[in-house]
Order: sequence, then C-alpha cells, then structure tokens
Amino acid sequence: MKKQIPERDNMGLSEKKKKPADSPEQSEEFMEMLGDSLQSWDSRIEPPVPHLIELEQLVTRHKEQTGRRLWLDLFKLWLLGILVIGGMVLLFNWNIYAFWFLQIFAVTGAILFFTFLSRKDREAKSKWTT
Amino acid sequence: MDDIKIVTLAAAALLLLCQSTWLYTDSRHRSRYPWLWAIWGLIQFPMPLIFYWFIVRIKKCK
Repeated sequence: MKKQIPERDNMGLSEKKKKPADSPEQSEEFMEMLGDSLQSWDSRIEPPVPHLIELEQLVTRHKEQTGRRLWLDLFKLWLLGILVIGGMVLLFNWNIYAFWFLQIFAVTGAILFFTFLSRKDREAKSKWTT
Repeated sequence: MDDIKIVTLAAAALLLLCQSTWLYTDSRHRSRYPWLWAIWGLIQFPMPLIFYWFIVRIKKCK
C-alpha cells in the first residue's frame, strides 16, 4: 500500500502544521471565551482628556516659540540685508555696469528658477492627480 | 549734493529692507521659498513684489 504523502504548501509546511484559517465558528468561540473580559478591559481604558487651561497654555507656548523663531529669522535677514545692500552700494560706486549686470542676472535667475519650479509643479500635479 | 545722495541711499536701503521683510513674513505661510523671496527683495524693487503677486498670491487665490 502506498503511503499518502501530505501536500506541502509553498512554505514547506505539511497540512497538519499549517496554521488553521480563521472561521466564523472559531471567532465565535474566541468571543465566548474572552469576549466579556475584553469588553470590560476596553471600558476601563479611558484616555485622559486635557483640561481647557492646559490646551490654552499649549497654544500660548507654541505662539511664543513661533514668535521668537520669527524675530530670530528677521534679525538674521536684516544682518544679511545690511551686507547685501552695502555690497550693492559699493558695487554701484565702483562700476555701474557691474551693478546693472547683477540686477539683470538676479531677475533672469529668478524668472528661470520659478519657470523651472512651475514646470516641476505641473508635472507633479499631473502625476498625482486624475 | 552729497546730502541728497546719502538720503536717497538711506531711503533705498530702508525700502529694500521693508520689502524683504514683508516678502519673508508673507511667504512663510504661502510659499516654500521664503528666504529666496527675501533675498531677491533685498536686491531689487519692485520686481520681486510683482512676481510674488503673480506667482504666489494669484496662484493661491485660484
């Protein structure tokens, strides 16, 4: 008599060792055994709801941090501004053509940059939208 | 003539700084490149404002 070789699945497990699929009867059994305990556990877990004062303090703190960061950035911008404007004044006094060349270069560079950017945006939009 | 030159330069510098500051603070909420707008605003007037209006503001309105 030929011995029947059990079928093996892709993972190489035999039929016996294979994990049984979830069936409605098994889930009913599970709920019968542990359903009440799970429900009582769920009802006891209550996430803490923060008080209104705590939320207001959070908002105030965030506003203060944002304001401080903005003033710091503006201070850096004004320092940079003084350097840039001072450099432009010196350039203007030294060579007016160089000054105009810088101005034209700045406009051209900005137009090219934003054209390239808008093209990228359009490509991304067409890629991700219907 | 020198006094006029100094006053003109000071006024231009102040104008550029104000433009740059406004561009920076406004573009922080509406654009991805606030520093770019701010630096361009330090170099020229009023081109950055015009471009900002058309590129960022009108686009956002749409």
